[in-house]
Amino acid sequence: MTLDFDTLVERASRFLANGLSRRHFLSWTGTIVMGSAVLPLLPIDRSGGKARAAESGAQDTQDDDDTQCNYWRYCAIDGYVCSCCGGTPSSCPPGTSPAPTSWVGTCLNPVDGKHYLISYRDCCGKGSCGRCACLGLEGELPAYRAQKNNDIIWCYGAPDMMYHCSSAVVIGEA
Amino acid sequence: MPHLHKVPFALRGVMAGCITMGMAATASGVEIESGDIVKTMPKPDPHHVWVYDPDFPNLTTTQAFVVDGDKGEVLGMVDAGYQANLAFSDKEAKFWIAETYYSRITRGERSDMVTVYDHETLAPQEEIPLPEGRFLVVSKRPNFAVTDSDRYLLSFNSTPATTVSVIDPNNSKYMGEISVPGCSHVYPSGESRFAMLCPDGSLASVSFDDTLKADIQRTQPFFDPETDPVFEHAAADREADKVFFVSYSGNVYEADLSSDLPGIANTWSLESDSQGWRPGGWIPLAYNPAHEELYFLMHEGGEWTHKDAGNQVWVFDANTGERNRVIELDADYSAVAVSQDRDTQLYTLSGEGTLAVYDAQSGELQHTIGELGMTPLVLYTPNR
Repeated sequence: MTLDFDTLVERASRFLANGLSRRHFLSWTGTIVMGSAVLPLLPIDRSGGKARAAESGAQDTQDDDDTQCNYWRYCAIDGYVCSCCGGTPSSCPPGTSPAPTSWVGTCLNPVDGKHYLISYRDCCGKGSCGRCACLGLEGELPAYRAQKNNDIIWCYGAPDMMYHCSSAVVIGEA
Repeated sequence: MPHLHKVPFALRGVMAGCITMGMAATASGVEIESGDIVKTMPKPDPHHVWVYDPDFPNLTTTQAFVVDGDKGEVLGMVDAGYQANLAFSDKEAKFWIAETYYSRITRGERSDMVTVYDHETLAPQEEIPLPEGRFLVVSKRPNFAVTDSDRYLLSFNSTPATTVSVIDPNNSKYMGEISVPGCSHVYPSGESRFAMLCPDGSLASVSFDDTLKADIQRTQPFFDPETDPVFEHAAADREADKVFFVSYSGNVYEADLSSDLPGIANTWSLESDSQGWRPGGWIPLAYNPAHEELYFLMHEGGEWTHKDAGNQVWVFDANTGERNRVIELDADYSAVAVSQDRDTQLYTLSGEGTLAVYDAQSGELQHTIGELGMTPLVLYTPNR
């Protein structure tokens, strides 16, 4: 299933507004309204061996091991999985900074069969972790649809634009 | 290696002189050589292809190799910064790299610039600062371009509000930003005009002057950006001011950018979806103006396989949309390019660092060149 753009933006904006300063929130929503945000992405073949199968259903994903590329939240991820770098799907490794901006995807949880909105937030401020490269393409759009693009260095609002790894935060039911 | 301190002083000068002149020979007849020679680049050639490597997971120091497609040899390499872009002069043997660095590699002060390079020496000549930064994304060609006659350099920027940085390369001067809210990338046409892709599935055409006063015209939306978007990488006919876009499912859109009012001149389909094939990869298409043919990198797959590597190239008549031939590749590749001349070469690049060179008419594999960096992604075939 897919969410329409407005719903997606509205839900993601509401989530981010909860945890962000007004300045950050305004900068991010401004980006979305203008249709140009950013996000981290890995080269296609870089994660080739670990790329998720296209159109993978719940039977191909799992809810147990968040260091594996078929972990259910990674359906639209692109980058180094933070769980392999000292973080978790919802926390950044020590010494890095979670960007207040993100790209979003909609992933099917194989346990309850429901779709959830996932905010792929980059952890920034160090060189790339380089571990557990994973590329998910479900619903991934080109960079001119920034909020669903996983190629952009999504470190906007972080102390600097160095990409370290990508988290995958559940922000609500889709 | 002789220990010079054991050689009589008088002989040292003789030895040094011989080495410098490159004239001496050993007793066996092998000529003693100077190690001082530095080669220079041959002149730009249609069969020179540039391979840019964003160098995952390092990212901070990247490089571009120049490969001679006729010989299958590397001619040289240039350094570049974080997610860099290249643009090539049509008038002179020079090129530009838009790049980003931090003063302490991964931290410190950020600096963005366009670096001017001499083609013959592959040496940097000058830096033109980009004070407002540049768009940082895994490198995609349409984020940096030179307009016709080298009039302006255009660097797409996102803070994340979208602007285009304009540089005067003839006076090495940053001129300022043109704001085109919401639209992304730069597809130049003419000396002072460029198009951008907008999130509603339309094109914006931006005409500007030296004061950066811009006139922005939009097409109607011509594709569905949510269900079947076009790839950012497009194929341009710079002489005719045409740009070809292809969508995830294989719909082709020919944009006419020859006037200030942009339009979609032609739409057709690869008709690949019904056969279980789709265009994809990092750079899925290329155009050769001499034969007016479009090349598409194809893989077997369905929805959301748009970055999958391909093992066939489908060649179409760009005017009729008829498929002329299919070229079987020797492996999976993620980017495609073609030389711009009549004696056309096809280039395909794998993420593992191998470039394959084919005769674009016969499909015959001519060369494979490996070890082109760690994770090369982007091909450039300068229009010469």
